[in-house]
Amino acid sequence: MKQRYFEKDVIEAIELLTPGRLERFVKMQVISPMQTDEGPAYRDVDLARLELMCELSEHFGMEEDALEIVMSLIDQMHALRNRLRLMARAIEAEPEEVRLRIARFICEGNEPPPEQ
Amino acid sequence: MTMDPYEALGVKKTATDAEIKKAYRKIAKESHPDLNPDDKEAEARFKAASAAYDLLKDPEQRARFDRGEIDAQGQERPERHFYRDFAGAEGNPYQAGRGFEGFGGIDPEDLFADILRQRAQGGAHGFGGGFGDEYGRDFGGARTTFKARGPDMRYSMEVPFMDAVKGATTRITLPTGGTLDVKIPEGTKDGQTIRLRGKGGPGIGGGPAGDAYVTIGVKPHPLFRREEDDILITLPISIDEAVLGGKVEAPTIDGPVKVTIPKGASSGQVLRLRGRGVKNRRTGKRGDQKIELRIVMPPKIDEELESFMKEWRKKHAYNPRKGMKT
Repeated sequence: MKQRYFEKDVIEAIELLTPGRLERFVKMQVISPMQTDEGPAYRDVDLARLELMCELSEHFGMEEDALEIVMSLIDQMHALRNRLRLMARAIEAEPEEVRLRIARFICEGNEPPPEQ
Repeated sequence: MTMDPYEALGVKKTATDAEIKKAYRKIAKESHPDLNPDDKEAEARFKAASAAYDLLKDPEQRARFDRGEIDAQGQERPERHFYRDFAGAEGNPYQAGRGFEGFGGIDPEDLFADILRQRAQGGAHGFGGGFGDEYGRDFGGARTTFKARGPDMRYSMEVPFMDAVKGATTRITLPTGGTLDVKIPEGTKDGQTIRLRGKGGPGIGGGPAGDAYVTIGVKPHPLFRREEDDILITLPISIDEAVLGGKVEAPTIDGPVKVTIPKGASSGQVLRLRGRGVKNRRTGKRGDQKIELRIVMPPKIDEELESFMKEWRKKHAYNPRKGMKT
């Protein structure tokens, strides 16, 4: 089981995080703590995410509405990266001829590869 | 970090606070690992800049540093994890419903068609899980009504160990105040995400509701541990049980069962109860329960035991550490 943190641990661990800010992030649903019997619990991934959000608002003066959009874009970017990685892994397992054809298609632009 | 903080930020010693902030922002923009996930060197550059900024942003600290009272060393931050390190990891709750679980929910036959269709519609999966397929089609057509699929919602909850192992239905309280019944399938793993079709945000103009994604955290159990489909426990046994063997009761996830302790059992020895583990969702087969034995001495070494051992040792001494060379 991974490490769990409760609200006061999170506030303590992240310098830029205030209770009010945390509450707003949770309400905005950009951060979703785990519901437990002992109250909301945060994981390492939540801490890393909170730290990023605090930096964006504090160091870049990002408003919270804008922050919500940026976080959503970051999530979408990671989802795409994961898909791309899976796709690359699948292509890697193909015979060399297929790999080359795909690589050529990607490098040379949008013409569909010729039929064999 | 012994680097000169001014150098790390690329500013002169005479830089104003505003210049320092500007320099830090510039580096952070280019080098924040979470904003530049493909740049492997980003982390080192960002860490140097943020340590420098931490020191120089506070005028009092900066003055002390300039006078040589403190050095940059003291400004090192505790080990920091960046979001990108988790973003691609399995079980990231923030990827649920955004295609993290491979291409979950898409029929393999339609995979490429689905991706190409998304592109043709101008990336219909917009903000927050977004407007559904209907957006592009209906909005673009003549005399059609506006219809959109509701956004997907993401939640996280912790469930007791046994509920995850054996399956259960629990209820989650939503941040909006409502509740949602969640069916935990048998054999659910820590970090697994469950998709509840149509339980997300409501659609617009008669469009379907979005989906809810619930990431499950599994609460540790005082006795049982889990390793893939196997259940692990440590079973204490007495010295007489270890020497003579015998049948003892051991807890399993289905309740207690009798297990046979072999004659001459040692601590650390592992017994295996086949099919007493967790049901694998893919194969439908159950894993095993592994029982690690641990010999526990009686609460008090009485005289009888002591004198017996002294006698026994005279003739039967053995060295279990034989062959243990350092």
